[in-house]
Amino acid sequence: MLVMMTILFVTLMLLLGSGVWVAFSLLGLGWLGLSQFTSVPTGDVLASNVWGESYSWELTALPMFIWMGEILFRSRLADDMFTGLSPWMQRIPGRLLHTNVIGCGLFAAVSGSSAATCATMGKMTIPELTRRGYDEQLVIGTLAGSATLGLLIPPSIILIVYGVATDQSIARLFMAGIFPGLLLISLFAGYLMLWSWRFPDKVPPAETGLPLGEKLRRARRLIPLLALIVGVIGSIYAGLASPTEAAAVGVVLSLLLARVQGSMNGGVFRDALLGAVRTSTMIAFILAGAAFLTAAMGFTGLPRELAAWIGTLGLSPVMLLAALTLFFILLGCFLDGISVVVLTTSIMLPMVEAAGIDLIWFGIYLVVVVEMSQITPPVGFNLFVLQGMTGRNILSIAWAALPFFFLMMLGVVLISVFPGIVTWLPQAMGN
Amino acid sequence: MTYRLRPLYQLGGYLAALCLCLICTLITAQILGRLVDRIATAIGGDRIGLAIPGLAEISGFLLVGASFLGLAYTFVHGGHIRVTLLVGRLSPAPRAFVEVFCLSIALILGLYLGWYLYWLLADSIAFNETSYGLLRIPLWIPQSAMLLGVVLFCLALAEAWWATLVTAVTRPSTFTIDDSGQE
Repeated sequence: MLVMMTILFVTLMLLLGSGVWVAFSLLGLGWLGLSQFTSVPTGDVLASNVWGESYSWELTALPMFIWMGEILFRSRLADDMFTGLSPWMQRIPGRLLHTNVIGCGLFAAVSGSSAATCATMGKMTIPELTRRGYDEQLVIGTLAGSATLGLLIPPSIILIVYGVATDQSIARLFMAGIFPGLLLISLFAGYLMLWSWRFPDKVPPAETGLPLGEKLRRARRLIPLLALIVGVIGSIYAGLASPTEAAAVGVVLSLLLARVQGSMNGGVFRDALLGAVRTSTMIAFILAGAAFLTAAMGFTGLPRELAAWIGTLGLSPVMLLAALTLFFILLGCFLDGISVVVLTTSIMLPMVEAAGIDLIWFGIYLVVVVEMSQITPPVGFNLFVLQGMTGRNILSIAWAALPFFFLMMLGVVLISVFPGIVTWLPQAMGN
Repeated sequence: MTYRLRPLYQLGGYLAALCLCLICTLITAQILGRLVDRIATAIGGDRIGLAIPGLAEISGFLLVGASFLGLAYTFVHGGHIRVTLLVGRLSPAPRAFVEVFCLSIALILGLYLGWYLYWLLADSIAFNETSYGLLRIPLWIPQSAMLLGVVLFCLALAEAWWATLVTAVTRPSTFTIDDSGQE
């Protein structure tokens, strides 16, 4: 068993490290495990698993939510959000920096990806905030940290991936993500307030306040976004629509919204659709590879052995989680979130189940840890996005985002100590 | 990299896009139908029953088309993720050979997958397999789309493999690759 584990691990590192595409690395690893360590007909298992994973009603939500995000990315939504939100943030310590946090939180509620959230909000808030004299370091850090909320606040691409890979209800996972998302938003906002209380001279003075009527008039521009959030997430929570149906409605509503705003035309429609094709085929192929790897690992018995081995160590769940968190952070430094999730579900799920950890809770935990990995160098998608937007060195961006890394760590501790933050809402929905 | 068959891959991408549009349209139609029904029953009328039978099956199968027909298109646009953290630092000549290695692995696995998907398809045809839902859609239809997508992907990989191999052997120092958007 140890020999097999070592060989598989070294092969995985070799394949990923030499730049073999993630999906092919998973397929190759599965092939190696199955053909060399079992007598199962490898090719047949491959074909039937790739096929079996690829048609599913639940998975249909994935391209739809990606498409919706692509449309909104190309709309004037971020512009509207900044105009609508900023007058209300003038009095809060930290002022307009909160538009990053709240804006990302709101956009995350219609988008499933953190890179998209980062790019959409960033193209609006980075120039606006630096022009007004806010500390660029903090603007970038806030954005990098808050944009990771795109992964956690439903709809979430990565929660769909986790749900499909582990057979958990996607609607429940979505509901489970809401309170942890709000928790992180409060942590981020709280940090900004503390920071600006500590360094008052680094925050530009408030601009002359607008009369209430003007504030409200501007806030009206938030209505389409709020309607979209209520329409999509509300319909899932109320049990009116499955996540897949809500996603399709979300696409139609976003198209209408962009149309009304005047930011939609044939070219934009085509770009958004083809962008969705590229992202969703990429993820679907990784999922197909992961399905085969999961089956292959099941045949080799490695995940069971691993679970049994961890069982003999007699770790308490807290120690296990602490060890896992460290491991995931390390893994997340070199791999993207989706790869971390599918590798975990292929190999470590029996271990997690054996430790008596709730799989819905574990999904949310995993996503928060993956969020942290989005802002750790050398590999972190949000860092790449911000590097592209600001032209700054990736390490300086990572440094700016470091406080938010620790805030998310605090979030992980909080949801571990109070698991109800995660599990309460999905349970309430069930009744 | 120039691909001779790029229009073909592009076509695959457009077909995948078409599948996504169809999924979205069908689901929306279904929901509108349900709404009409609810309104009809609410005002005391009869259910009209505007439902699309087997919607879950149809969209599941369209998803297969969307996922696989676009593989080659995504590949030629550099959309499949990989870790270029280490190899991205190599100078052109060694990088060209590493790239040949990566493409060889991908091509072999792609062909292997295609070969067994072909046998899956042949079995589905031989045994007249259909889906389990209401519609009893013959499985060879979505499975052909899947196989076609994998074949297109293999073609694109083969083109890239050959071009990279030629560069690696004849003039490795001129090898260039765009890693943007990669890890």
